[in-house]
Amino acid sequence: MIEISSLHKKIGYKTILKGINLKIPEGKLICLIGPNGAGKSSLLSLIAQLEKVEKGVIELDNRDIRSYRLAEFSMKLAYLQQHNHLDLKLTVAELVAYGRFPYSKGRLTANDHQIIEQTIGELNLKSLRNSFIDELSGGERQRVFLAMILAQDTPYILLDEPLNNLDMKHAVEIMQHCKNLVCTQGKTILIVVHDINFAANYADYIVGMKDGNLAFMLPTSQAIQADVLGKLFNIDFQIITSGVTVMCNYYFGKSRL
Amino acid sequence: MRNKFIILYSIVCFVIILFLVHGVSFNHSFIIFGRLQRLCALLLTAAAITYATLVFQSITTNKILTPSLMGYEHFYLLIQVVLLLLCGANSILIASKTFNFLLAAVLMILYSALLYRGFFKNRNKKLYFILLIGLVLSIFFHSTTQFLQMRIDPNEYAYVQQAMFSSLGRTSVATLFMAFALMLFTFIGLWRYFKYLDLINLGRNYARGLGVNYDRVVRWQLAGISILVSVSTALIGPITFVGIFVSGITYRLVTKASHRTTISFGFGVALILLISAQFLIERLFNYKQSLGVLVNLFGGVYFMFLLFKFLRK
Amino acid sequence: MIFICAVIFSLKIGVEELTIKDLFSATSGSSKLLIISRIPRTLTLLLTGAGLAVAGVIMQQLTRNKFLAPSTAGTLDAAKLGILMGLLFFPHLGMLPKLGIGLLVCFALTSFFTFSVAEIVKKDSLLIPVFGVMYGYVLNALTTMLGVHFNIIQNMEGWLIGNFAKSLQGQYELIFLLIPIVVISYNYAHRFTILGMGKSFTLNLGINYRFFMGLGILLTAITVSTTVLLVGSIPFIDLVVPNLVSLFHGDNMHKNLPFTAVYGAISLLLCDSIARLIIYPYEMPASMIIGSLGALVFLIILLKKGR
Repeated sequence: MIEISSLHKKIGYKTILKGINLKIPEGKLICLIGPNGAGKSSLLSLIAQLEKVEKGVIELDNRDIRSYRLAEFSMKLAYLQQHNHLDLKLTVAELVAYGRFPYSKGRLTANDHQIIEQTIGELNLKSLRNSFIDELSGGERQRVFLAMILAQDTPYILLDEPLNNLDMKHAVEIMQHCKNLVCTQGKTILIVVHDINFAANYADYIVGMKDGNLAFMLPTSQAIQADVLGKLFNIDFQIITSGVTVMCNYYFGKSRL
Repeated sequence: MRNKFIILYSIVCFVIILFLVHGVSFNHSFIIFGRLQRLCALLLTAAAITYATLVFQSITTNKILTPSLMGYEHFYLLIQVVLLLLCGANSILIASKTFNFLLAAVLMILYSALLYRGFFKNRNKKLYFILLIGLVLSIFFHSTTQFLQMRIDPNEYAYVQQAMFSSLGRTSVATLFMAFALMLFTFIGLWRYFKYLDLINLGRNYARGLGVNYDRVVRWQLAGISILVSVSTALIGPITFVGIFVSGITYRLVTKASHRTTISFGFGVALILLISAQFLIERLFNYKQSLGVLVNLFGGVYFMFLLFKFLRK
Repeated sequence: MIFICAVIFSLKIGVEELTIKDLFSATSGSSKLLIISRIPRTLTLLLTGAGLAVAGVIMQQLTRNKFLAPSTAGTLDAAKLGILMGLLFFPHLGMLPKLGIGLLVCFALTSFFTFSVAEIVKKDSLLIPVFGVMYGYVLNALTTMLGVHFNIIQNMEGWLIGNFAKSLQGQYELIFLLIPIVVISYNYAHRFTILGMGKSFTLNLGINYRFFMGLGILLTAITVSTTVLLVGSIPFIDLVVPNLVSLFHGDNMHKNLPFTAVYGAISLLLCDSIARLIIYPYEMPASMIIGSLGALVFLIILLKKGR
């Protein structure tokens, strides 16, 4: 469980997070939504210890994250950042192999190789296995980095807009893969998504953020409501259900609904 | 890949043998000894430059920069002039090469620590910014050195001039040994971070995510780089562009990003460049040109090529 | 006001004692001194300072980069190389042909860099001056190599250090070339600003991009080669003065150009006065004072902007 209490963050004179209190349950897929500048990415990078926690506490499995050794922490939690550019002569397989670094420290065991191959297979990267990452398209590179994070094989995974640059087919595949990891292996995955419909259809819980504050944390069925979303994004929503699928229609803005 | 290594190091062997035995019969052991000594100096310089440049480029994630640009060379000269003014030529700090060497290295490390402080304090600040400050500082050091030189006793001035021109003429067995010891010490110190180097390439976020203390590794690497650059500067003088040439050729020929591969390949490239340049100076130019000038020119032209390729991208 | 004081001060100081009264009364000794040494020197200082500062502004505008100026884009080094070539290969020619050769080399090498840089509208703005300085290093290596080869390295060091002591009657007159340059720059100031917006933008407004780009570089090259030939290399003035002016007066080039010229002239006058007084009765090259003070001011500007 990740437990965040009265977390503040300032960059310069601007307050990015204004006292966040949040409990993230184990073994669930949680989507983080909210308008631009809500502080979603900042929250994620604080949990991932990329930035120092200055005010407030973040606990991972009932231990302050600052008390973990980095090497230990990297076996607990993995993080995918938003922009991934690398001008390096690295093959896909080599990059994914870096995901095993916390365990192997550079000397891969048979078990490591097996996990690497398995991840490459699960993300349909087999055909790209030996391509150089600086020759891939944006979407392919995104999937390769995701593969590296997943090869890290941690109980907690934070993904900052993993669907960026992806076409529909791959976006769906990735969300299904995440859902699968949660259901079969009991991993906890926290995803920032911009496409509200992915959150509506895949998440167990939805966390809404706005202006550095926590707006709500609700089970998906309660969060995907016209009034809740409308308040969060300042735009009118219409929720359409068809079978098991939920669609949030916001394409007409304020006036027409 | 293996073939490339074999070809590269056969060329290295060829150049070394040519350098050692060209134009002498074997009973001239004195000449051979002199050449061996120069060869050792070149070996050490090649190792220092290759490591420093390749790692610096990984840290800056830019393949056409070099740590020599941070003003080390001009700072080194300034140290020498100030020492001379304050202590005089007979002081132990000037006369004993060991003390002089150590003092210069420590001051240069302090200098880089100050420079990089801003970089570590504020991560949003680009390293280019620090680089530009380094460049400006080097112009500043240069003019200060010029100014101080005017106040130096003409009799002692010869010492400064000696420091200014890069050549192998001022190496001795003692300095070689010291440089070797310092470099060995540095490499041993950096050894435990060696396996993290490839992850530094991924940038701070991923390196940390994979359990590497990025800031600490980079700090130690930069300290190591500053020692290596100081050692090579003290050994044969300013050679700003060699590193760029070496890394450019290496990245062009090597298709692996692992530092183990690039560094060992780059070392061979650096050796070929330096030894053949020295060979040309001794045989073709008859010692008229200094090593630094020749190598800088060569590396500089290559740098221009890289630069314009980069700008037109 | 400061301007006039600085001029009088510069005229006054020197080994030979001159009082203010002497400046205006024409006793034979003092007027001779004035005509042969003090007035040429002061005029050279004024024009060099103004010319270099204006050249700096043009360079900034053409490339849209606050930190690019002749001394950080290799222009200074290109001019040194050109003039050295003039001296080496055509030693029997006079000042003007030598200047011509220097100018040609300087123009060609500067265009090479500036044209390739100017077309990138938004690359990392701090990286470009870094490359400019490295470009200058390469040219410098070439210059040094030539110097070593022809055994004139010591000589070269001597005249390449910016020093106004050599501005005497009969040797400094070429500096008046800078007056029309500054006037032309003022005339076309507005166009240079537009050029900085990029090629397609410029062509859209019906301005001949290549022609005015070339003109801007040519003006810069003339200024820099002339000053290198007559007084040696003067670093930083072209970089610092335009930045200071834009700090205090904003970025409108047309309006600022007169300020820039005057500030450039004053700063150079002051630096030279300091250089003459600091080890009085001897003097040191002005470029050393400029190098130290300029670096300091530039660092402060850099730290302020980088924040």
